Amino acid sequence: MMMLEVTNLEVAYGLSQVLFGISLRAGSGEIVALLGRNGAGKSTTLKAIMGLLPIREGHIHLRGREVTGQPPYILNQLGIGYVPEDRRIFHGLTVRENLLVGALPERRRSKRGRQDGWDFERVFELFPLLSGLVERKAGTLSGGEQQMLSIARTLMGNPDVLLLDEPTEGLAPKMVHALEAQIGKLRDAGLTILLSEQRVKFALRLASQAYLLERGRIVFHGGTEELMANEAVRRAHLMV
Amino acid sequence: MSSPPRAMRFLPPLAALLLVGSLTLLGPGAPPGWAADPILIGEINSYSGVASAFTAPYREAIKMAVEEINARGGALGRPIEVLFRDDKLRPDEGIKHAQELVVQRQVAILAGTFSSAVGLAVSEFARRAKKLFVAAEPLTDVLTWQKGHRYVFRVRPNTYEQGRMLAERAAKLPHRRYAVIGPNYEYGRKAWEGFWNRLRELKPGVEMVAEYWPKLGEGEYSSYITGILNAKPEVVYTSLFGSDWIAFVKQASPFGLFQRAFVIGILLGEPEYIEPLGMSAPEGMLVTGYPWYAIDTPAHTDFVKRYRERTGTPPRQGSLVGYITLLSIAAAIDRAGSLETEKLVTAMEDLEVSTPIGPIRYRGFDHQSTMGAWIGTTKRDPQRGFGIMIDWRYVPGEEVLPGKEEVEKMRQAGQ
Amino acid sequence: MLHLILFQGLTGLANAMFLFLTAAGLSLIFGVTRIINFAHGSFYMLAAYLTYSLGTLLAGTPWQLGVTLAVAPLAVALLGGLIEVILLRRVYAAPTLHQLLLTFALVLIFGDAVEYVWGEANLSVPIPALLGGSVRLLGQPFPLYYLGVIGFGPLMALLLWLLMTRTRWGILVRAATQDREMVTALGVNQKRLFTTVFIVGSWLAGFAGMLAAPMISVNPGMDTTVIVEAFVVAVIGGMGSFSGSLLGALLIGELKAFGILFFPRISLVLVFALMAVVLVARPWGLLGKEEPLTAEGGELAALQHEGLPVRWRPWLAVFLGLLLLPAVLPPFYLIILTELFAAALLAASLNFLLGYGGMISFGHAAYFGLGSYGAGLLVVRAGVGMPLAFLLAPLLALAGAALYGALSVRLSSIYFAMLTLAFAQITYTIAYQWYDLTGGDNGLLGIWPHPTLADPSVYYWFALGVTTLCLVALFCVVRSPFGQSLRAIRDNPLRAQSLGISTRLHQWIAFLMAGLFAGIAGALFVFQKGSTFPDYLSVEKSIEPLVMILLGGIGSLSGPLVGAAVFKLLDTIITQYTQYWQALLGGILVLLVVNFPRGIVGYVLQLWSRRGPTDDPDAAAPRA
Repeated sequence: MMMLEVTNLEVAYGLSQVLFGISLRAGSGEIVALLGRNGAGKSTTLKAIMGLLPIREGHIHLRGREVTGQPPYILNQLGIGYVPEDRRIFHGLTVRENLLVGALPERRRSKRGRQDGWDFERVFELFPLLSGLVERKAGTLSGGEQQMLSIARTLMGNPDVLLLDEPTEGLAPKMVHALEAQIGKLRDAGLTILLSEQRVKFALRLASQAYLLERGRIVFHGGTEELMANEAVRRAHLMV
Repeated sequence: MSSPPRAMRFLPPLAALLLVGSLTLLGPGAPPGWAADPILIGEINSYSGVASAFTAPYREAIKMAVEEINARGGALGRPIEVLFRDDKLRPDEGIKHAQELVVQRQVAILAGTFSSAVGLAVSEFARRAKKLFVAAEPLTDVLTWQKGHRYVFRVRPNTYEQGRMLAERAAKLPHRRYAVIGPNYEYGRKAWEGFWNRLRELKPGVEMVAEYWPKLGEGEYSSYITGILNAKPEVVYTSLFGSDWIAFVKQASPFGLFQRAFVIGILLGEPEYIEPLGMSAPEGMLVTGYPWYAIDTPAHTDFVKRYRERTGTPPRQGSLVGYITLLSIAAAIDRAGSLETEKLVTAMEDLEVSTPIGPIRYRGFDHQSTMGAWIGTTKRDPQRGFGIMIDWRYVPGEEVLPGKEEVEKMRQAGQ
Repeated sequence: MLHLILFQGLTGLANAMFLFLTAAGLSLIFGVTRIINFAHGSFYMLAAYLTYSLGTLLAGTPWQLGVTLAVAPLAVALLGGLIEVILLRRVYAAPTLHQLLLTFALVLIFGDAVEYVWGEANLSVPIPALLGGSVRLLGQPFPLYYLGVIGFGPLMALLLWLLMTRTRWGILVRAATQDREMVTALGVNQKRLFTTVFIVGSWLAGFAGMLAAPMISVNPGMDTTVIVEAFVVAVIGGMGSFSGSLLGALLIGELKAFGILFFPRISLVLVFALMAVVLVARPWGLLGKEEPLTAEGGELAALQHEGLPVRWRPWLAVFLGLLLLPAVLPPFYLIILTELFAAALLAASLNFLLGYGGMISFGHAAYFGLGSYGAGLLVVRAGVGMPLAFLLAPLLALAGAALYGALSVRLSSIYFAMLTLAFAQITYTIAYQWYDLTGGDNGLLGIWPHPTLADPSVYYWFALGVTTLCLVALFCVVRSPFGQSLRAIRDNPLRAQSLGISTRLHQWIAFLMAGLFAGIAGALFVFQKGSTFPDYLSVEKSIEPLVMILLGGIGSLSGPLVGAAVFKLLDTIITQYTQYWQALLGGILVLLVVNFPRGIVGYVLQLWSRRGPTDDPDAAAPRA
């Protein structure tokens, strides 16, 4: 059974349509890369999956169950976690408070009945950098730290699927490197990750399959090796 | 968007027609000349909002007066009908209603108003429309003097008169240092000027140590109170009233203001303002007011009895004024023998009306009535559960009104 | 001197605590939901009335104080929650204008409801025995109750601070104040959060009302007094910031306490002047967070029917019909219609600014009033005759618009609305307090038209002509390249900027034009009425044209005209039949906002264009 399945997704801002029949699938414990130029529709796709944009047409299934049109908070509770493009951490709140916003309240946590749930301890294990900054105002963190906080915050909600939007944007190479390892660990822990990226190599090192978007349409889909092998596609759409 | 269908082009004219047609909902214009038709009096007053505590009893008394007059056969053999309009305490609303009453309903006489600003506005309208306006409540002395004209008359004793009554008494006190606080609008300021000008004449050594003019409806006076007390006045004069006065008393009492200074309050002995305070009403204040509970002439006792029977409550100052206003209008119509404005005005000049508090007269040269006011000292009455006036005296208007020459001087200055 | 500073300082402090409690709730609600809840003052008032009723009900019983403390704010809090669930929830995705008018409608309804239940009389709540009397400070009595309030304020502030930092709810609220969409993406049920925020915010209003009740007179007018002050405090401190509300309250409280000593005559202006200065320098308030430029106009545009071909023949028919009316209608109808022309022109000028410029002015009465005062001052103070005065009067409005516009147009949506409101209030206060020039509340009387225009039907023709000319001029501007640029700015200011359009200059010029035409409307009006008053500059007068536009429909040529006509008729007719005209108007507003956001014209057009693609705003999923 597919973890996440998107069929024929169409989205419009007002009168101008931006997504045209996007379909994609992600299996359990798999990283799927969403590639394409700036403005190709990657972020829009993730936002639409998260219920943050009205969907004109199409369907979204989570673990085989239809979740199209559900409000974001329900989707989150059903197991979709969203890490936005520009991190959108709560600047005025401390690191701890940011994590608390993402954390499941006690009663819901017990309802989900997960033993291996994320908590402060486990999050700090993954991002040791954050553990020293617990009481710092999030607005004072560096870009890399903010990115980690943003991911950690979403993890606190125990997602099964993680929508990661441009996590490496604006990060120093060292940070990118650390992030790559951390995202790998998340996959190893069993999370399904939909990774939207401009850094193609970074994404392809992590992902097992990739979708290539161009002007709101999928122009290529296949395994990562397949994509790397297809020089025409690489030249035309990825400039690598 | 699809283009609108052809029918659309009829929409604007159709809509316009509908709107103009619905104007007829405004009610008919009075068809003139039917003998048994009621005589229409247009009455504009502040029936909603902060003044309504005053105007509600006023309206009750007017209705009572109309019933009594009509029971006696009305005026000129026709019943009197009063059309009430709410000016919402706003002069522009007052003018709007005056226009409607005069142009549309063709009333014989305009009457009413509470706020000085509304009174002045309606008076200006009446001047231009050449319609008799019997101003019931607005107290600014300007109304009949500086801005007086042929078509305006006033029932109540104005700020000048009431201020003067208080000044006569205050001059006998040893105090010299005065502070004033009043609402920042026409009445609030005029109520001080009338008092202060007279007091300085009588007692040249007095000095004003603090003056505060918070906005009408301010509600929060603590800083004003400490400011006043800091100036160490011997007397505090106030023209606050209504909700402002209640708030002021509550806030000033624990500061000891009423112990630390002698307080003079214009109108504050009126039941409208003293009764809501219950047993927290300040004692020993010098006030003007209306001690309905203690005026025991047969005519007045009878008035109180009839009013109580009708409404279940004792009369307020507003009730008395409303009642007298209607009596005056009926008397003017009878004397004129006509509804023509010019004849009505002439009839109203030097008209004498007998009222529950004795006869009053509308002075021919300035159109101010000689209705007076009661001056006295406040005291809590545990039996009644609210403050009353003691040691009171009725001061008839004649005692404090200026003579003809002085009025003419003021009128010239006002033009 | 020490005595003076201590006493003024303490009374200012006590006042600040009342202000803080009221403003904090207003600010909290705005921070999370982006709704300026004008009804906040109504909740304050309701709690004061409940305190009164509970007091009379339980007088003398030992649990009076305890029950009142528990029940009065809680009842109001639940009412706030109920209102949120029933009404406000429906308008979170609506344009700011609709939200503002909805809460304003609630003010009207609650105002009349309170009058209906408790009557108009001033009620008095006794001070609880525990805090009665006074204590001596520097040898002079000071009310114990105020000391209690001064002590209670910081305690409440501390409790609030704990609530906001130590509870999950508080953390969620603070997070939502920064980014509510992200909070929902993290699994928080926004609806529930908003409802609880309304409950807590209303509870604060209720608590403040209960606390204030023993020291004031409880009456139906107290809601507006308190909302204006709370609003000023919250704006100065920064909407959405608790510490900002505290700072704003302290500033205003002390400014008033000391201001009356040193500037007794202009103390009223001081408060609004401070607000204007803060808004000009830091639009988001002293401790508020800066907000990005938003394309508010896009939402407004969604409610409009633009690009319809305008058929001039029907309009010509209307014009000719109106021209002939004096032959058949009695003079009073002509007077009403003349008033209507002025109102329609005022609404059209605001619609130009709002519908096409995307700028929601909450102080448009300022320019109407300046036009009428311009005429009044010229006639009464300078002795200028009517024709010249009529021509020059709108220039005063133009000058006012030039100044205020220059300071306002840089702000977006809600902050623009607040600043225009502040400027209108300043203008109002000046007109009210500058007794020697403006006549104060007496206004200026005797502003009559030239004798040739004195007859109602002649003045009617004059007003019809002037109004028609102005409407045609406005129409031409809308259709001109300037109008197109203006709409581009409204729909997407950032894109317009990148296209090289000077957005501020365009908006400023639009502001000037709207001000000028509002001024002409004011001059038309004043010569018919013969007088001008500060009321022409009041908040109510600013809201009237907004209601007209909403009633008729935003951004179409005929919308404001139809709206003005219907509004005027309702106003004239309703007031003759019921005392509760305010509640009725409020009810109509609620109905419009919730069910007919496009107004009458929009609704009719929608009925007709059913076959076209639906772009019903309600069908779109709400913005988070």
